[in-house]
Amino acid sequence: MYSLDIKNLSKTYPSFKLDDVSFSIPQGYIMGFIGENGAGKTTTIKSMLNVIKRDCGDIIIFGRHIDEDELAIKSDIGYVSGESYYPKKTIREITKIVKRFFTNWDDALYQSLLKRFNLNEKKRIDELSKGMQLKYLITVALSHHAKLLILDEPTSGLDPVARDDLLAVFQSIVENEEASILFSTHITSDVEKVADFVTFIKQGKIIESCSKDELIDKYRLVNGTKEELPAIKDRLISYKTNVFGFNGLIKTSDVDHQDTVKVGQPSLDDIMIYYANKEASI
Amino acid sequence: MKNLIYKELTLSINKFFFIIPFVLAALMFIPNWIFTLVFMYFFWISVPQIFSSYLANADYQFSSSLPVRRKDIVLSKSYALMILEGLHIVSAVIFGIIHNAIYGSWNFFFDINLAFFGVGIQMYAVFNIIFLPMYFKTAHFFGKATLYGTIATLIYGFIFEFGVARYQFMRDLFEGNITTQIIVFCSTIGLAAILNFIAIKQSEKRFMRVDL
Repeated sequence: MYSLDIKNLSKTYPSFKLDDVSFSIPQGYIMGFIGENGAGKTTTIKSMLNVIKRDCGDIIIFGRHIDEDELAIKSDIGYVSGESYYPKKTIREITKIVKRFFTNWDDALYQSLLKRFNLNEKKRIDELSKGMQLKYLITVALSHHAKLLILDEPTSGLDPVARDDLLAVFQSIVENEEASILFSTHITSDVEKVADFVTFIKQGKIIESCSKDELIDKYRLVNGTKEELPAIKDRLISYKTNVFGFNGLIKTSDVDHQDTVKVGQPSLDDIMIYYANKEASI
Repeated sequence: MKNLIYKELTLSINKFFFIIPFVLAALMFIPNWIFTLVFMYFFWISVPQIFSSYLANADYQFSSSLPVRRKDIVLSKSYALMILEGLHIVSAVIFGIIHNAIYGSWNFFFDINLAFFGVGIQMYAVFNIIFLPMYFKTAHFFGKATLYGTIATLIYGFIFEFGVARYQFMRDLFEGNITTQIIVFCSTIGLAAILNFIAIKQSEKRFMRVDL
């Protein structure tokens, strides 16, 4: 059973195209949605939630099509856009409004989450740090028992301690609430820490969408001398030269046992960076 | 829908804009004045401030995180605007009655009577049909929409105020006996309802195409 199943999602702007995006998240797992700035992460998230109108594609959430059951589906989703709203209003004032929209709002859970995150209801949104604002938005999302959390760049702009804290919260949500999480980020180390699945988007196209381990296994980092480069160059996704030779990324299936270069395991960062350099270097 | 209207009235729109209709309606105490101006302050003060606060507070981002239909976002904002317009009318009626009790009903320009309030309600509808569809084309830019709406209502107000002061037939029509006034009132209300209906339908259609 998939919490979220996106099929052939497309959206065209004059200078950008989200091209045939498809991926899915099994229930109860965390998916990291990675890509450089401007790759199409936010456009994908907004398109699948009807915040922006998609040109085509099917969005199936909890087995229901978003166009047919939008209100019921959105009641089961916690969407955190990363932007804070009503900065001069207090937590209490905003919650008073938000809770009216959710029939399954759990006040006891809300209060316990406030306590857990050390949030004071009397504080205005602009009195909270970015990390605390996010924690409040997550509190709201969890207090109506959201089965799917969609978070757009939740960790951007947070210090390492706050990021680590938030990632721990993600893990406990999946363990305790049996919810699924899709979070977009360009900080791949966050994905490496908590995600079970990874979807990698580049220039509006999905490059990979699979389990984190599978993704890392699909690629190899190679380094060799300048003399070794010509033999492998055509098989590399991209490479960088330096005074000692070159470093590059290759698909594991393209590695030949006769290659003399050194082969190692890449990080998600390496995969993203070498894909970003693809057009520039080859 | 009910929850969205509640959100508009309690969270999105500042309390100040619910008080100001009563404060501005005190302008009805000025003897021999152009009283349609009292309604117009709404376009000059409240509208730009309310719609710029939607931007400042990232209101549409907030609404997109809630389980609501796009159509209902348009409806709730339009209804909230109309509720404020209604408050301006109600407070003008109260102060208008007091004005007439103090100074009598005769005015060089349009008298404060039933027909005057009908014309006032219709003036809000004229503003709405220009402002709302133009604003909901982007749900972002409100300046041009406010300007066009304001210019239209200035022309509309001028036609009635100047017409009544200058032409006897208009004075007879709008300041005649109570039956004539009731007819004018009912027709203006009817027309206002039609204009508001079209304004909302057009706005819904345009807002459906907006990328928030």
